Formats: sequence, structure tokens, C-alpha cells
Amino acid sequence: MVDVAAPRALDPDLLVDEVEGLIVPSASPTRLAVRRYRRHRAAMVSTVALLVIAVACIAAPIIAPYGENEAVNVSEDSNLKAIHVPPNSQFWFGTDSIGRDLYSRILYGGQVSLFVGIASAISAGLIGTAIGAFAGFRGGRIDNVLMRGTDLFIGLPLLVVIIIMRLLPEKQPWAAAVLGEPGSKRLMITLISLVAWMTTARIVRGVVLSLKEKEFIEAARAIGARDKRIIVRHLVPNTIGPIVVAMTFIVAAAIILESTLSFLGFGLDPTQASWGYLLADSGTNIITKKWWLVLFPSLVLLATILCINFMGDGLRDALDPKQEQRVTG
Amino acid sequence: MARYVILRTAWAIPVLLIVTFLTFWAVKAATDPVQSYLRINPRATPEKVEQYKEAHGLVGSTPEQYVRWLGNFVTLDWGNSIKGNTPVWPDLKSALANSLVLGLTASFVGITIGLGIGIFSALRQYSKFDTLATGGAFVGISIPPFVSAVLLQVFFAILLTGWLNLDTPFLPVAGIYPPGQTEFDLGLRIKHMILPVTVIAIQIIATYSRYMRASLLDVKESEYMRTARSKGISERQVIARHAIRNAMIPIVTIAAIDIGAIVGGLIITERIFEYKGTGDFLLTALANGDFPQVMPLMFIIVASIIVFNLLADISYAWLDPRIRLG
Repeated sequence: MVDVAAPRALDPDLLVDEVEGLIVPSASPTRLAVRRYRRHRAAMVSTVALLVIAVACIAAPIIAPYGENEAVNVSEDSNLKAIHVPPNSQFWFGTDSIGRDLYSRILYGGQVSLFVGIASAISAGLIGTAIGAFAGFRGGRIDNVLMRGTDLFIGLPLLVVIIIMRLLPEKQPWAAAVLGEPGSKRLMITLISLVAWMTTARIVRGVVLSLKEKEFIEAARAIGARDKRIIVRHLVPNTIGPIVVAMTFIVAAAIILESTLSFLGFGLDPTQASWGYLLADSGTNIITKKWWLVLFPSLVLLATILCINFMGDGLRDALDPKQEQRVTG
Repeated sequence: MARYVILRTAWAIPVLLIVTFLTFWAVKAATDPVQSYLRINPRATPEKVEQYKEAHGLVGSTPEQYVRWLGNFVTLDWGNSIKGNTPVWPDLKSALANSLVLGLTASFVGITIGLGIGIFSALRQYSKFDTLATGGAFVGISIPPFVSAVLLQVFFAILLTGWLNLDTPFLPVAGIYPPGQTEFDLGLRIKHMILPVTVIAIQIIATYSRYMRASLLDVKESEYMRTARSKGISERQVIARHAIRNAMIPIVTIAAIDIGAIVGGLIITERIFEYKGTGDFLLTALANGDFPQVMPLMFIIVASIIVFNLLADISYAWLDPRIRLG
């Protein structure tokens, strides 16, 4: 019987027929998730586009025509700097006020933006998972206190909170020691993690709460499994999908937060010119009509964020099929 | 109902005090008023500094300082700024007024359009319009406000102005009035608000169309809808009287929470468009380490969030009896 069904089951685009479910070897959950992801067209396009952007940024030292902080001369035999040159065949995205090539700077800036985004998402995801799992698993009073705290934190204006925390290390040496030096990546990642863990905490808590009531957990308990085993063997594998989805969205949120802060002048120091930092002078550039200096960094930023969010959407369809689309603000 | 309101209000007061105390502590550490005073007055003698600390209640433990500050705040004795030594209240008042004008206008425009799109989407689920609106909302939520703001500026102030061969930008991209204008002029005011309102409204339209769509789809599945239909009421009436009304209940509470966040939520838009509101006020005050300016605004921001959250809870209970009776 297996012989008949095998070739069909190997075809990745073919769904397991429910009627034939007993005959066709069933696909693994991972296999099904990959299939669902591949059918999400926007997510697939975004994955490719984001890969291109990420690879270009990582390979900036090879790809970029000029150095990150290199003031380029107008021509080989001239000392005149190529200041405020509009986009042309030599400078694809134009040059800035001291003659640096914007295309090269965007590639290097992407390294900073993507790194901060991914690192923040991992750390915020871990904090949120720990708090959410603890609250959901223990329940009762601990759950109540933790979730009240989470609610309160969600209510506060994120940007105001993060800007005030950003100023702390500048005035207080202890804060610089705990959170990181002003303008450092460490400080930025710490601050973003501190404000971004709440969504994950809520999601994980919800999933854990509902899983706790499931029969298979009860069955595990009945055969004498301890808390640790239940968490590691049953709860974590079943929550990993929603966590990955939440973390994907946090990557986008973290890139936005970092670029917003750098844009407002509360971000990283100038040696780490992220995409947001490249836009910091947009006010002057708009008045003086240097449109390329504003247009290109914002378009790259926008494209990246859209790609990540579409990937998150695709991952949600793939990993979290039971979940209806959550409205995320 | 009265009991519910009293209980919720009683709970809000300690929360307000605790949060504002933590804010007080954090803002004081982040602005360091004494250091700011010395920066503005570099030649102040140690006695002068002591005098300043004494006069502004910066002596004693943090809880003591907070209680003293709160006393002054409640009696509207808000003191003077460190930089420029100007009274805090008049500047803060005009910033608050400007932010409210901007925020409420954008909320009104955004919520109206958003709800309209959401209702239309839900009534024609999976139609072309629905697909387009859902996709558009997804993109709208993804766009960071500062990116949409600078893109609008580039388009209206540079590109469009260039294509149309205009001498002045098609739409103003900064300020509340053109430089030099001091008198009230409704036309100019509206013209200066178009771009900032658009930036804020994009986000609001995107979120509310999603909320409304989800909420209305939820209601459409409910049994009382079938009951209403089986009574023989026309479809139009069923939608207007039963579906939309019930779908609005969660929206009202979300709107209440969002309106409470206006005072502290427009920082980016205000900074980019040089709109003299609370966001601009806060960023400038923070840059100067001007504690006497920052703290009253922070108190208002926190209080407004807590009060409007309370209103949201109460309105939810009032609109949906299941909450208060359950």
C-alpha cells in the first residue's frame, strides 16, 4: 500500500488528502508549515527581497563602491570633494554634505540597523517568553501581578519611556554601568528589549494557559512527569511557533525604534550610522531640496520593515494556523 | 454600576501615585536639575546652588521631594524653567492646546475613515475591496510614522513643487504658521496641519479599519443576529441596529485609550513638522535637562493615560452589561 502512495506524498505541493489520510504517509508538522509558508506569496517575495538586502549589507565591504566615511573627490585628478551630487551613474543614490557616497553609507548602515533589530528581538523574545511562561504556568497571584505590571507597561508612551531611559546613563554613572554607555549598541539593545518584551509575554502566557488544560499535559502528569519535563517536552515545543512569529514582528519594531531614536538624536553615536541616523538631517535636507538624502534611506528602511512584517504574516499562517489574525498595533 | 465605577476609580488613584512617583524618580535622574542649573549658570557659587536647591524643593529624600513637588503641582505653583527662567505654565498650556488640536483632528479624521473602511470590508468579506483594504491596512500599520512624514515632505515640498514649477512649496512642511504670522488665520492653520494630520491619520485608519472589520465579523456570527433576521427585520436594519452597534462596543473603549495617549504620543510627527506641541516641548526640555518643565508634562501624560483607561473600562461596562454583571 505504501508503494502506491509514496510518490504522491513526496510531491511537496500536493496536500495530504484527508480521505486518503490512512493510506498516504502523513506529512510532518514542519513539512506542512513549510508548505503553508510557501503558499503565502507576499511572504515568499519578502523573504527573497530581505535576503538580497541583508546579503548586500553584510557584504558591504566588497559591494560598496566607496568607504562608509570616505569623502569622495569629484574626479581622479581633482581635490574637489563631490558635495551634494544628485544621483547619477557614479553615485547611485547621490552624495551628502561632505561628499560621502549615500549608496555605500546605506549598505554599511544596514549592518547596524539589522544587527540591532535582530539582537533586540532575540533578547526581548527571551525575556517575554520567560515572564509569560512563568506567569501562565504558575497562574494565580504571580500571574495576576505580572500581568498587571505588563498592562501598565503597555499603557505608557513607549517613546517617552525609552528617551528618558536613554538619558539616564548620560547623567548617572550607575545607569551607564547597568544599561550600557550612551550611544552604544548595548544600551540601545537593552532599552529596546526592556520596552518590547510585553507582546511576547502576553502571547506565551495565553498559549501556556490554554495548553495547561489540554489532555496530553494531563496525561503526562498522570504518568508522573515533573514540571520540568512538562515544560521542556510539551509546553516549549508547542509554544515555539507563536514565539517565532512574535519575535519576527519585534525585529521590525526594533528596527523602527532604533531608527526613530537615532533620527531624533537619542540613538547610537555617529560612528554607527544606522538608517535612522542617515535621516537625522532630513529637516535641513528638505529645506535645501536635497531630496535624495531623504528619499533613499527612508525607502530602504520602509522596504525592509515591510518585508519583515510580511514574513511575520507568512510565518503566522505557517506556524500558528489555529490562531486567527491578531490585531497588532 | 455605581459600585463598579467607585471600585475602579479607587484602584486608579494609587496606580497614578505609584507611577508618577517612579516617573518623578526617573525624570529627576535623567535630567539632573542641579547639573542643568550649573550648566545654564556656570558661575553660580555653592551658596547660590544650595539656595536654588532649597527654593525648588531638591533637598531631602526622593519621596519627600515628590510629596513637596506634588503639593506645588496640585496648587498650580509650577515654577520657572531652568533655561530662560520663564514660567512653565503658559508655554506648557499652549503646547497642550496645539497637541490636542492636532491629535483630536487626526483622530476624528482617522477613526471616521477607518471605521467606514472596516464596516465596508466586513460586509463584503473576501471581496476585492476587502482584500485591498486589508492589505492596505497591513502596509499602513507597518510604515513608521517618521518615514511616512519625511516621504510626504519630500513629495509635497520638493518633487511636486518642482514638477508644478511653483515658487513656494505646494504644502507647508513645518510650523503652525508661516514665519512672521502672529494672528489667528484658519486657512493657514489648516494648510499647515494637512501633512501632520495625514501622517497620524494613516496609522489610525489602518488600525481602526482592522479593529472594525474584526469586530463586525465577530458580531455577524452571533446568534442574536439570526434572531433579529428571523423576526423579519430588513437586512439593512439588522446591520444598522444590531450589527454595527454591537461591533462598536470594543471600538469605543479602544478609542478612549487612544485619545488618552495623544498628549504623549505625537513626539515624532511634531518634531518633524516643527509643530509646537507637547512632543516638541518635551524633547526640547529634555535636551536642556529642564526638570521643572519636564515633570508637570510627564504627570499630565501619565494621568491622562490612567484616566482614559479608567473611562474605557467604565464605558465598556456601561455599554456591555455582561462585564459589570458577570
